[in-house]
Amino acid sequence: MNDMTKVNATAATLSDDPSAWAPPEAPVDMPRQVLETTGLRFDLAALLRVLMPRQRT
Amino acid sequence: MTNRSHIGPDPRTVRVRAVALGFTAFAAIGAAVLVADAAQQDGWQMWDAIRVGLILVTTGWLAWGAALALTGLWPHSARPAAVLPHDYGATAVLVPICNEDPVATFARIAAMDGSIRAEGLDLDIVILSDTRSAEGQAAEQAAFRMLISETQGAGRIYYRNRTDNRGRKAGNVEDFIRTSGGAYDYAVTLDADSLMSGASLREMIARMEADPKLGLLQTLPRIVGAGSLFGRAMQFASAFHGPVFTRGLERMQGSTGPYWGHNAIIRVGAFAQSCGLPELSGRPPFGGHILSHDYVEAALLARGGWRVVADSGIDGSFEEGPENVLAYAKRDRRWCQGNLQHSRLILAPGLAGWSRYVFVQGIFAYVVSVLWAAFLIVTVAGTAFAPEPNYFPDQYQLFPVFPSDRSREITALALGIIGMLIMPKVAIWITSSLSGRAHRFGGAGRAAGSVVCDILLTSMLAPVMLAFQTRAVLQVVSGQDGGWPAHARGEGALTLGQAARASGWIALLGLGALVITAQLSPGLMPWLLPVTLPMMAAPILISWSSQPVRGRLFAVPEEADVPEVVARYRAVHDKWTAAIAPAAPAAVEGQHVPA
Repeated sequence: MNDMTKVNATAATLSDDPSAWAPPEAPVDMPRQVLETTGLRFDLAALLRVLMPRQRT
Repeated sequence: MTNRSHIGPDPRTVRVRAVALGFTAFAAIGAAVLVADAAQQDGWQMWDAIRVGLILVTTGWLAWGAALALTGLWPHSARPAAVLPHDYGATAVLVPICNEDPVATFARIAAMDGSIRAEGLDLDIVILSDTRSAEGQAAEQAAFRMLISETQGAGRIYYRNRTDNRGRKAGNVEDFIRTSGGAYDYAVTLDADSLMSGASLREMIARMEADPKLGLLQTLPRIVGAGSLFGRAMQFASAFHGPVFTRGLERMQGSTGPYWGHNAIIRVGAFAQSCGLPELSGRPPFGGHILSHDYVEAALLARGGWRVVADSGIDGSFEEGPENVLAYAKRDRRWCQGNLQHSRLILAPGLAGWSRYVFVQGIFAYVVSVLWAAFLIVTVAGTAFAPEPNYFPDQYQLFPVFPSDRSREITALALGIIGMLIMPKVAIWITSSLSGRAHRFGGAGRAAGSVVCDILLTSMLAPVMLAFQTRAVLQVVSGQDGGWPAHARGEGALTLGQAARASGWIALLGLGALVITAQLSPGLMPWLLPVTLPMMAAPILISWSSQPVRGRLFAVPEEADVPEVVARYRAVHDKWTAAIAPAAPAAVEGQHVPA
C-alpha cells in the first residue's frame, strides 16, 4: 500500500474492485465508416502502359 | 456508411469565404508577379520558375492566415444565452488519460466536479484510462479513491482501464461509446490537462438542446498556468489573438466547423452513427489507425448531416500548453504526421467540400515550412548560377545597357510578407484598444508591449520552428513513423546542454547555410541573416525561452481574476500534494493522448 492509498482509505463507499468503478453498460452500435476510395487509387504502372503502348513486349 | 447529406453553407458564409479566398489569391499572384518581373531582368532561368511557384504558394498561405484574422476582427452581435431546460439530456464528461500525473489529473476532475455541482448540474464524469503499466494503474486507482473521498462522487464519477489500447485516444472514446454510450445524450470530451467550468458546461448542453441538428460544439480553450517565457507568450497569444482568429474561422466554417479533440461537446447518437473510424490500409505513417482523428470526426459528422460549430464566445474552457520549444516541437511532430496522413482522406466519399479544404489546409500548415526552406535554397542557387549580365546585347552598340534595378520591388515584396505576418496582430491590438478589451490585458500600453515582444519572440523562433517542421515533414514523407511519444506535462526549464543536444543540428545547418551563401552569393548574406542567425543561436534561444519569468509581461485576464474552476483545481492540488508523498511518475510506454 503506497502513501496515496493510505490517505484514501476513507473512500468507504467505493468498491474494492476497480473493475466495479466502470460506468454503467448501455451498448451502442458504431458502424465503421468508409473513407478510402479504392477506385481512384493512382496506378503508375497502368498509366505508363497507356502512355507508352509501344513499350509493351 | 457513405451517405452524403451535409448541410450546405449559407449565402453569408459563401461571401466571407469568397472575399478571404479572393484576398489570398490577390496577394499570392501579386507576389508571384513581382518575383517573375525581377527574375526577367537577368534572363529567365529554371530557378526563377521554381521561385515564382514557391512564392505564389507560400505568400498565399500567409495571406490566408491574415484573412482569417481580419475576418474575425469585428465582434459577434450579442446573442441571447441559451436556457437549459429542466429535463436536459444525460451528459457524461469524458477524461481520456494515458500515463498522466494522476494527482494533477484527478485534482482537475475534483475541481470540475465541484464547479458542476455549484452550477446545480447533474452530470457524470468518466475517466477513461489507457495506462498499461501496473504501477501507473495502481497510482491512478489510488488517486481515484482520493477523488471519491474528496468529492463524495461515488455513483457519478467513474473510472475504467482498457485492456486493449486499440485506436489510442479515438479508440478509447469509441470504446466508451460502444459500451456505455446508450446511457447518455451528450458527451463532453476533454484532455488530461483540460479544465471546464460548470457554467461553460451548462451553456454547451443548453446549446445542444436548443439545436437538434448540432452534432458537435467546440470551445476555444484558453491556456492557463504557463510559467516560462515561451509558455507565457503562447498563453498571451491564445488569449489575445486566439479568439479573433477563431471568430474568423467561425465566420467561414458554415456547418462544417472544426473539432480539436477536447473541450468540446458531442451528440452521442450522431457521433456513434457517423464516427466509427476505420484503420487505413497500409502501414504508418500514412496507413494504420488515424492519428489526427478529430479533424476526421468533424468531417464525418458534417457528412452525416450534423452541424459542427466552433464558438470562441464560451468562457470557462481551459487547457495547459507546452512550456518550451522542444515540447512544442514534439507535439508538432505528432500533429504533422496526423495531418499528412489526411492526404489519404481528401477524396473520401461524400465529404463536404469545406471538409476536404480543411484537410488540405492542415497538410499545408506543415508542408509550407518545406516550401519556405526550398524558396531560400532556390534563391541562393538562382543568384549564384545567374549568367553574367550582357551590357551590349546588340553587335553595333555605342552605350552599354544596364539591367533594370528591381531592388525596390523586391524590398516591397519583403515588406509585404512581413506586413502580412505582423498586420493581423497589430490590427487586433488596435481594435482591442478601441473596444476596451485591452484593459483586461493590463491596459493598451502593456498589451502593446506584450504584442511587440510576442512578435519579436515568434520572429526569432520562426527559423527554428521552420527547421523542426521541415524535418518532421521529411521524416513522415520518407516513411518514418513518429509513434506516440509520451508527453511530459509541466516540463520545465531546459539547460543549454539539453537544448544543444536537441537543436545542435539546426545551429550547424544555419552556419552551413551562411558559409555556402558567403561563397556562392555574398550579396545575399544580409537578406539571409534574419534566418541563419536565429538558427545558429537555436540552443541559446530554446534554453533562454524555457526559463521561468515573472513580471507583468504577457499578462492575461486569468492572472488578475483567477477563474473559479482554476482556483478550485489549485486548492485541491495543493491540498493533495501536501497530504501525500510525491506519487511515483507513471511509466513511459510510448503512448499518450494528443493535446
